[in-house]
Amino acid sequence: MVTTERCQQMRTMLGMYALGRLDDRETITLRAHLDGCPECRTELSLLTPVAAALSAADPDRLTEPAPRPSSTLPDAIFGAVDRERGRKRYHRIAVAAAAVVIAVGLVTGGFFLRGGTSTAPPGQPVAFTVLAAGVDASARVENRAWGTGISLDVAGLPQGRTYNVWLQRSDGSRMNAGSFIAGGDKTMSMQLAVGLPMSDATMLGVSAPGDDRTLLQAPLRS
Amino acid sequence: MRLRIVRTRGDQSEGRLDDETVLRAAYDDHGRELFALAYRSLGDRGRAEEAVQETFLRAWRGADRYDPRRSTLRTWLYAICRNVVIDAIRARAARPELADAAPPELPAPERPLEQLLVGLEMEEALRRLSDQHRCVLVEIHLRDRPASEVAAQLGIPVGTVRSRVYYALKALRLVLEEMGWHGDH
Repeated sequence: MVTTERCQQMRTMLGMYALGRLDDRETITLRAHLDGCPECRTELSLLTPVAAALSAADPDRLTEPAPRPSSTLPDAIFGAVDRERGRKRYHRIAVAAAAVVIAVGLVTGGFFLRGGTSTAPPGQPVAFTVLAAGVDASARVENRAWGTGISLDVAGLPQGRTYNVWLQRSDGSRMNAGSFIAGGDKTMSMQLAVGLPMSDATMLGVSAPGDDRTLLQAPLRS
Repeated sequence: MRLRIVRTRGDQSEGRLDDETVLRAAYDDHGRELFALAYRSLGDRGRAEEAVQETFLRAWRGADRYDPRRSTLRTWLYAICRNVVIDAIRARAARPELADAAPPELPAPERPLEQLLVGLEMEEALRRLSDQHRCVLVEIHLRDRPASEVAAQLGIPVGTVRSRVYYALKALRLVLEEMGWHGDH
């Protein structure tokens, strides 16, 4: 049985061994000890993966100052969260309102269902001036008390990918209007609610997250 | 109980992530690190900020899927950010035909990204070590310098440097565990 003192002595070599920095003679001495000492073997097994992963670190990156996000990023993030929270709430209200309309409709002998056959959808159509190759899209925008309502139909964007819809202000800044997953050739239809007055928006557009290129773009007349 | 974030090692947050206060605390704790990850991966500030925004949006939407018994908040956010970054790289590589932009550099798929992630994780852990411990690991392991040279530079016996390497690795392991590392599982 080895003494604790011997282990203590060996453990000062263990770190260097884990880093592969012992010379042959020391390696032989340490291995002989490890063969008979399960405690030191356990200790080594804890250090080896750390040493291996450590090789991926870049000493230059470590010394240079870490890149910092701009101070406006938190506002952008929590603004986006707020808008999405608002949309969810709006959606819930809309579903509840629809339920009421249907209930009233049933009570009044289907008056609303029969009478409400007017086909003109709300809002005004927009014309896309930028349209990526192979993409079909149409959209309507509507000025609402709470901002701008958008109904958008898109087909031809690669299936399964996510795209962002945005409104652009006259100063070029953009407000996120939501995102959707493209369905390839299948037309995706969506209703989006944006907390930006339509008079403040000059452009409606679609791009991929993390990509500045505009895939769809339409000017808005307000 | 699954939906609560209990106080875990390395995380101060308590409460649900769909609570804005909790989400803001998560940003304060981890936002800069996630931005650094996105920036190193995507090479562009604007894209990196979009990626961080998308990360927190996904975290907010998926708040009920976060299980603090299975991972720290930091690990969970890191995993989301990693997926966002991969999506952004793929999206960029997959659609060169949709615009007239410059030919896409293909920061080839997942392997180098994984390597980068491990590297950034290790660098973050090294920053949290004491100067003494960090110094020996950086000089000997990362800069490949002999222990004797490092000992001479520091003005201490080479035996001290060698044992310091051992204690530095142990300390590094502890830091990594606090960060939610599971490198050897």
